[in-house]
Amino acid sequence: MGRDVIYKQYQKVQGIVRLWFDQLKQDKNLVVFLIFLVISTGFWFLNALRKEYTATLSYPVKFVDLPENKMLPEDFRGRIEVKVKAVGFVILRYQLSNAFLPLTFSVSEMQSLKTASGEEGVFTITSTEKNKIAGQLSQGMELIDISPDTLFVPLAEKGNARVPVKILADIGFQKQYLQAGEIMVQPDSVTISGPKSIVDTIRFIQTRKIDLQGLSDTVTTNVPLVIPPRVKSSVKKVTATIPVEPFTEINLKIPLRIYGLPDSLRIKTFPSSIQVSFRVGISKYGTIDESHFSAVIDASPVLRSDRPERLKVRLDKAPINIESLSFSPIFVEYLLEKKN
Amino acid sequence: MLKVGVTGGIGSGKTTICKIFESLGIPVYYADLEARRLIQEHPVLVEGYRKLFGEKAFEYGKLNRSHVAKMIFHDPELILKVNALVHPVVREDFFQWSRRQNAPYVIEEAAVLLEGGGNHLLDKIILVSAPENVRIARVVRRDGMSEEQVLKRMKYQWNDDKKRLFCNFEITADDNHLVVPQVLKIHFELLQIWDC
Repeated sequence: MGRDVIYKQYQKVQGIVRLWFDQLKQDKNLVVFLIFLVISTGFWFLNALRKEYTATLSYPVKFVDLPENKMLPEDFRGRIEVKVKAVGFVILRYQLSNAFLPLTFSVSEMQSLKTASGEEGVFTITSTEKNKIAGQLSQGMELIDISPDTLFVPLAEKGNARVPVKILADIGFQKQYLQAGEIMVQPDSVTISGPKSIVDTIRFIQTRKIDLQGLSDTVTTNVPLVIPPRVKSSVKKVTATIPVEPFTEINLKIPLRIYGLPDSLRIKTFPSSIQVSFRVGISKYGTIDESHFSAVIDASPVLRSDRPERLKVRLDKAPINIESLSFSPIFVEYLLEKKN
Repeated sequence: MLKVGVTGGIGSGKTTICKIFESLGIPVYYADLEARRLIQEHPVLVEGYRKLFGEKAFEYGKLNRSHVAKMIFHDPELILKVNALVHPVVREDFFQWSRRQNAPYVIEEAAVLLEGGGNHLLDKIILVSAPENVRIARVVRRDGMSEEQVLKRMKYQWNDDKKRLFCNFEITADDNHLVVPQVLKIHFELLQIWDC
C-alpha cells in the first residue's frame, strides 16, 4: 500500500520536471539568462575568496612519545579547535588538502597530573603550544585562538602477558576413526598487550570455532584468534593440527582390589574381576595393558548393619589417551567369611 | 558323593556361578576347558580330529583352530560329529577327576550338557538362565564377537525352555536378581540330599 503511494508521487514529480525541461528548451531567453547567472556567480565566488575571513577549524590530535608502560585509553579521541584568520583561498585549500592531518603533541613534553579519583595523565596549556600549532598550519594563516585552553590526556597503565591459546572446535570423524591425542597448536601461547586492568583478567585467548566433520586423516588448519577489544596480540592466527587415526577396540580383564575390611574378615566377590572396554588409536595399540588400570571396591559398607547386597566397583586408574571407556559389571555380589 | 551339572547357554553366567560354588569349597570341573586340553592330549580325540579335519587338524602338536573353524563354517554338520566324539571322552575324564575329589558333591560345568545326554549320568542339574539380550551383550563385551556370531553359536544350543525340562534347579543370572543367595539355597539343599 505504502509503496504504491510513493511510486505515484515519484511519477508525479517526474512529470513536473519533464514539463519544466520541455518549457526550458522552448524558451531561449531563459537559457541565456541561466548561463550568465552561472558565470557571474563564479566571478562573485572568486572575488569572495580573495577576502580575509576568520574560521574555526577542528583538528584531530595525535600523541606521540608515550612512556613504555602507558597507553591512551581506547575510547580517547582528542580534538582541538583552532580559530584562524586567512584569505578565503588559503582556508579553502587548507580544508581540502589538510583536513584530516592531525596536530601532533609529544606526551613527554607535557606535564604529569593525577586527579583526585586517582586517574593519571598529562596536560598542557594549549596557549603555550601556540607557536607549535601555528607551525603546523599553512602559510598565510594567522592563529587567533585555541580551544580548549587545556588539553588533558588520560594515560592508562599498559599490561603485557603471555597466555595460552585455547582451541574451540567441533570435530566429527568418519566411522572407525578418532582423535589420536591432543590438538597441537602452533604457537601454543601468545603475548598480549593492552590496558593492564583488562590484560590481568585474561587467562587464555580462544580461537574462532573450528568446525570439521567426517575426518579420516590428520588435518592442519589456520585459525584466527578471538582477541578481546582494546587488546593487541603478538599473532592474529595460529596453526591447529588435529591428529586423526583409525581406532581399535580393546577388552581387558582387570582384577578387583578390595580395601576397607578388617583383617579378621575375608571377602570374595563375584566376579573377582571386571571387564574394561575402550577404544584406542592403532598407533597406541600394544602400549596399553592391564597394568594401566586399577579397579577397586570399598568393602567397608559390609560392616554396616544395613549392609548392601552388592558392592560398587570403581575404576581409579585408567590411561588418559583412550576413548569410550566402560566397564562391567558395575556392582558385584560377595561372600563374607570370618578368618580363623 | 553327588555329581551335579551346571549348564546354561553362552553368556548365561555359568562360570561366575561355579566360582561361587568353588568359594563354598565345592570342586568344579570346567568341561569346556578340559575338553580343549583333552583334544590335544587324548589319543582317541587326536585320532578322531585327524579323521574329521584331516592332517591339518594339528600343527606342531597343537590344534589348528582356524582350520577347524573354517571346516565347521563350510559344513555345520561337523559340529555334531565333534560333539559325539568329544563328549564321551570328557565325561569319562570327569568321572575319573571326581573320584579324586573329597567333597559332599562335585560340579561339572558345561555349556552343552543336556544336548549330549550327559544329564543321565549326573544326580542333579542346575540351569543358569538369563534373557537372550543380556547374554548376547555379555558375550559381545567379553569375547569381542559380533551379535550375529553369538546368535549363530546359540543356534547349536538348546533354548532355556527346553533345558528347564531336564533341570532340578534354576539360577536366574540376569543382573537384576542376586545370585549368591540363589547359590547358597541350592548348596544347602544339595548338602541335605547328600546327608540323606
